[in-house]
Amino acid sequence: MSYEFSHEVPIYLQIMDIYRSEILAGRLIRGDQMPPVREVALAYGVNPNTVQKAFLEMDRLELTRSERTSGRFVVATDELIESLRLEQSDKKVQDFILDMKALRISRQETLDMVKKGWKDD
Amino acid sequence: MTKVVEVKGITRNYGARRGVDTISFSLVEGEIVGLLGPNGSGKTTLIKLIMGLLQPDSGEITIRGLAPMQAHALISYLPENTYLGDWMTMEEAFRVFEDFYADFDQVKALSMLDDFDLEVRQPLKTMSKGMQEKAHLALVMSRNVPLYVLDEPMGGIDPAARQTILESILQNYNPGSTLLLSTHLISDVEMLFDRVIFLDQGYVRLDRQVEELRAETGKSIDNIFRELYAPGMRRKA
Repeated sequence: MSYEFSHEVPIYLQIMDIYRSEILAGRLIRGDQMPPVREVALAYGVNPNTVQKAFLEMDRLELTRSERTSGRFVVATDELIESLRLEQSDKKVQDFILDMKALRISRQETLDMVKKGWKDD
Repeated sequence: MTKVVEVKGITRNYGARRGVDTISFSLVEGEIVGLLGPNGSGKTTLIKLIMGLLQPDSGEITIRGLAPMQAHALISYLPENTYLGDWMTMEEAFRVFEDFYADFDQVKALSMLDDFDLEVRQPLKTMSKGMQEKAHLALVMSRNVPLYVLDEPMGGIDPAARQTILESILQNYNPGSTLLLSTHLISDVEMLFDRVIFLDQGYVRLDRQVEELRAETGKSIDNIFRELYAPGMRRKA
């Protein structure tokens, strides 16, 4: 097992996070088939009902859809992915700003540090 | 959801000592339930009552509507202490299970032995306690039944091997079957549970869905357990 779950946070949220990140990063794309619930449960050593709950939640958010006979597929539209990416990056930026403020680093200093630290690869 | 086990107001004492006291709960199809509590909290007594190995002083237990004594074909049970004869090899134990249980799946049992690195021809008496427990678990999980009852399946097994046991339980239990697992090693198994029932001195202390508990408290089930049973927090007898 390559993934360590935190026992303090509902496991289904952590499973959702894993697959949502895969979709946001473009490693799982529209039309890709999701792995079967049982397989995921075994791979991560968690209860299958927990995986089921995570996937149902992803269906509800229209990231995936379950077809009765053929399985579950990624259906996230580009618009949805874009809005989730913006939402997530905004949250990260807000957290970052709070951290910087806590360290009493000014807006200008922060911007300079980001420019300096940002390396294209 | 279909109820598999119904426990209604069950009490069983050992003379003046309390075993379990007016316990009620039901288990539904497809649920994995942890029965948790320190030693002497009533876990094994409750399991023996569900198995019909002990009779209650009062209250009633039904397994899919049947009395426990009539329900043995519906339950696969791993007792706290293994009951396999010392002189047997696994092959012979397989034969016993095949004779007793029409639902025994030998292919599954063989693949589990393989997962556990156990050899079918090895006599049980040459196995360590941990190996015997694994061997017994392989037999118990290889039956196709609506209810699995495992009493401390990891009691004698070293921490490094517990993950293998867990994975093997997950892989081999029938989806749709109900699994009741008693343990005091919570952090090792808490990812497995839908729900936990905490026993304390014969009473049900807590009976909740684990994901709800995590969301509400921001704590692991192991932490909740430690806090609940911390000195001074115990219910007075």
